[in-house]
Amino acid sequence: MAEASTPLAAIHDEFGRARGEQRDSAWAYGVSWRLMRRDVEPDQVREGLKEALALVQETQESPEVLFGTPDEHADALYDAWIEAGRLHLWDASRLRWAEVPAWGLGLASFWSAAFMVFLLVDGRTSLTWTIGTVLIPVGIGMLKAGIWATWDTLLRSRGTRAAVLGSLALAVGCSFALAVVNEWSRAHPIGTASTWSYVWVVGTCALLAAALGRRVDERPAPGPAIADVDEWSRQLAAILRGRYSLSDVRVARIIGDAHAHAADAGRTVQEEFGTPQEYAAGFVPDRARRRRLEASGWALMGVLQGVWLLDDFGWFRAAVAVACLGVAWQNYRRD
Amino acid sequence: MPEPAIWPAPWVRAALDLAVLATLTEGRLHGYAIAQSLAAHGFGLLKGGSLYPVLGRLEEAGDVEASWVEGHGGPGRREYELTAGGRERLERDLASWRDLGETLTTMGTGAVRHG
Repeated sequence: MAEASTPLAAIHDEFGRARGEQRDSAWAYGVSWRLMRRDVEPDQVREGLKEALALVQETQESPEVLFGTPDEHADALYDAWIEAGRLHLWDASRLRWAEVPAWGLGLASFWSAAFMVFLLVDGRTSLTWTIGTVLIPVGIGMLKAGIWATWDTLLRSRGTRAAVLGSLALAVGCSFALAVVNEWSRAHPIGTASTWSYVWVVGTCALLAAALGRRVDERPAPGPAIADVDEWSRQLAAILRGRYSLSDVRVARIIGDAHAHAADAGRTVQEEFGTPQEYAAGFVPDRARRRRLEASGWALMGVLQGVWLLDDFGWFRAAVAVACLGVAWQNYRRD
Repeated sequence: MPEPAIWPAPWVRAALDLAVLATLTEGRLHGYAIAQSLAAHGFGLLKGGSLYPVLGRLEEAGDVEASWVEGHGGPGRREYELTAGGRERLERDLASWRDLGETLTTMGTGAVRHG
C-alpha cells in the first residue's frame, strides 16, 4: 500500500482501515474538502477528523450514521470552532510575488495549449509565427498571476479599493502593452510553421514552472516579528482582510476598538488580545462578501470578453466569455 | 489580580451574548466598561480578545449599534447601545434560559414537569 503523502491524507486512510470500509475514507475526504474550500488550516481539519475517527473506531458504526453526511459534519465543525472562537484559517489562496513566475508560467502553459487546440479545431494547421503568437498566451498567463499577486498584496496592505484600482491598472496597462507588441510583430513575421509547434511553448512553460515552483517551495516562509503596536495592527488588518474577507470599514473598527480597550486596560494590545492570529480566530469570516468579490472579478472578465466580441467575433472568445459569466454566477450562488 | 468567573468557563461562554446585551439595558457603554460590568456581575474580567468578537457578532445581527465618541486626552472609542431588536432578543432568550433552569431544577428533584 502506498504511503500517504500528507498527515491529512494519512487520516483519510485511517478512516478506511477503521472498519475496513473504503467509503469511510471517502466520507473523511468529503469533510476535508468542504473545510479546505473554506480555507480552514489543514491541522485543524485533521484535529476535527481525529475526534470523529476515535468514535468510529470505538463504536464500529459508520461515520455517516454517527455524524451525518460529510457536508453536515463539516458545517457542524466549522460552526463549533466559530462558537469557541478558535477557527484557524490559512492563506490557501494567497499568491506571493516570489511565486508569480512559477504560477504565471503554469498558466502560460495552459493558455498556450488552449490557443493550439482552438487553432487546430478551427482548421488552421499551419501558422505564420510572430513574437506575438508566442507572447500573447504566455503574457496572458503571466498577467493573470501578476494580477492575482497585486490584488492579494494590496488587499492586505491597503484595503479593497487600492486592490481593485491596482489590479485594474495592471490589467489595462499590460493588456495595452501586449496589444502594441502583437501589432508590431505582425509586420515582422518569423516564419511559417505547424500550429503543433505550440507544443514546444506548452512544454517549455510547464518545465520552467515546475522548476521555479520547486525552488520557491524550498524557501522558508519569513516568520512574523511584532516589534510594536503598529506592526500588530498591520498584521491583524492583513489577516482580517485577506483570510477573513472583512470589509475595510469593519477592520478599521476592530483595530480602533482594540487600541481603545488596551489603553483603558493599561496593557498592550498583544497582552490584551493575544497575537493577531489568535485574535482573528474569534471572528467569523465574511464568506458572502468574498463570494461577491470573486463573482465580480469573473463577471468583469466575461463582460470584457463580450465587448471584444462586438469588435471581432470568434467562437473561442465567445466560449471564454460564457465560461467566465458561468463561473461568476456559480460563485454568486455558491454555499 | 482580577476575580475569576464564579461559573464554569463553558457556561460563561454560552451565556456571553446575553450577558453583554444585559449590560447595555441601562444605557450605552464602551467596550472596556462592558468588560468591567461583566466582571462586577461575576463573569470574570474578560480579555478584549473574547469580548469584541461577541460585540461584532451582535452588531452584525443588529442587536447592538455602535457610535464613535471622540476621546478626551486619549484615543476615541466606540460606544455600544441596545437596539429594539436586541432588547426583544434579550427578553426572549432570558425567558428561554429561565425555562431551561426550571426544567433542570425539576429534573434534579426527580419531579415530572408537564407542559
